[in-house]
Amino acid sequence: MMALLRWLPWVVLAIVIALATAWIGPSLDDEHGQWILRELRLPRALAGAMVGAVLSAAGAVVQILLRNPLATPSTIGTTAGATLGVLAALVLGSGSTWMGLPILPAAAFAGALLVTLVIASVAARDRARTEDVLLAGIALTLATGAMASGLRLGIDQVTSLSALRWSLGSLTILGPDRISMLTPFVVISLAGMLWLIRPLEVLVSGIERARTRGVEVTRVRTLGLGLASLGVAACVATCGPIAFVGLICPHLVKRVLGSAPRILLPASILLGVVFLPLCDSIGRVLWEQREIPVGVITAALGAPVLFILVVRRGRMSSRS
Amino acid sequence: MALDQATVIAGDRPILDQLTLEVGEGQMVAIIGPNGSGKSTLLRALLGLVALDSGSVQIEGRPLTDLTARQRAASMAWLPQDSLPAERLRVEDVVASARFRFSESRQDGIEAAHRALEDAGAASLVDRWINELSGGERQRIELASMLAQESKCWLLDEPANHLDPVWRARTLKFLSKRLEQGNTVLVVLHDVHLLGHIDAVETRVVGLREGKIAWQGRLGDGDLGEGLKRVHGIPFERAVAGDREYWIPGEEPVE
Repeated sequence: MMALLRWLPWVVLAIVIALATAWIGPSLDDEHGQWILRELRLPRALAGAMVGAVLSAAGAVVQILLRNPLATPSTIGTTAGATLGVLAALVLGSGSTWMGLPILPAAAFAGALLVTLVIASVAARDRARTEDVLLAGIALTLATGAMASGLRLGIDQVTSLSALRWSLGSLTILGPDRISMLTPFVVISLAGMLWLIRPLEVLVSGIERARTRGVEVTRVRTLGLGLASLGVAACVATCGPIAFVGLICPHLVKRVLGSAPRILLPASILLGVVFLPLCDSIGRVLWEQREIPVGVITAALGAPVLFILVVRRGRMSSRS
Repeated sequence: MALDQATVIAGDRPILDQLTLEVGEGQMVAIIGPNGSGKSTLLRALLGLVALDSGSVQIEGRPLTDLTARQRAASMAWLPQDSLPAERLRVEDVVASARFRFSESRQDGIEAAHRALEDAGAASLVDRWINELSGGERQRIELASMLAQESKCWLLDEPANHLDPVWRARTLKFLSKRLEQGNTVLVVLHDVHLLGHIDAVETRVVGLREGKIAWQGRLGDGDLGEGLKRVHGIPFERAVAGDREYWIPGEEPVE
């Protein structure tokens, strides 16, 4: 309860900043502009905040569970699985439904869950090492990527173009219906991950240590990966694969506030809430004639961060 | 605590080979043996971190496999060989996290962590980041974490590794204090001389060789030299300095 109160001002601040990013860009004073702001930019900022929160939290959780600072939903194959699911849905016709469910998000979740379950079963084996899990993630990413390329050939040119645009990661196509579809997934995923904070606090000092201190590691790991992939799948289904958010945000938080999940997880969520709408707005103003998809912006920022981390890690391990 | 006919196989080689060992409550047991003789695996088998290929483990009269993770944590605390991760974590958070098995408020957990740090002589480290500590300081954090966990039995894997001689002695002294407090202590040691720092009279020495118990006896019975020879396969020479005895590996036998 106390903890909740302490975070409240920061939650409010983050949401205010996220929504304020809607005003970044060409000024919108006339009536038409007000409409754009209300109907397009604010929903977009809201969606960006939700997607940013989930991707960032999923990154932090996956990093703790797999004991690797480079693990994120995009490196363990969750994103790739969701992408494959979406492309499969496009081949079948994106408007179609299956047992009353819109096929697009259902297929994304099926794909993400399938890949993540394979990863989780690798991770749950008694003697699984972190490297095994990451390598399995890379193998699955490559495999699903190849299948996705094959599927692209099966769709017509118009769909293919929109699929390409979607695959760059963009918040532009979000209407209120998409946002209301996204919301329950975001809430369940975030609440579930926050609920795991106590076992995560033990897991940061090592998987085996945690096991001898009473943590049911397999259960926590399966739950954590499941909740992370649920949220990520919903995000990928609505706005395409947006990479590196789960890498950048948790790392900035770790540098400033430390790695304790009690702090890391909520702070990463809040940073994600601010970060993604901000990147989206940058994409809007950077190039006057055209909008740059937000996935391109996060990739441009994230790739150097990843590079620096890899170099640093190499140096650290060679020192010890 | 007991292992019964425990076998652990890696590849085609047994790491533990039908090993049977019983440790009574409040006992001090030192496990010695050459590299790869199965010392660490013995501890990990007791903790349930490695699955046995055959045989069984009993903890306080119950099969280990019947115990939940929390019940295991109540019985046994472990000091692993590898050091704490180089993450930016606060010392008090790390120590408090060892109390996972208790259902308590964060406030209570932090207070217990502070007490444990004080008992381990590390009260001054409370606000530090663990990735900025020295080897000796980390060791105190590990011992404080074990105190915080409040388990009956302490399993330590080479607690003297990477420590300077003063800290080695202090660590062993700390363990004999745990014994006085009624804990059971099982410690894997490379260096038998460190046993001299334990004040407890009844120290059992168990020598492993190729996954089997090659020798066991009580410290101070005088036949440690024979034990070392059986465990390591070469004779050891006895040297006395003050009231301590030292064992020095002799010449390798010529084939």
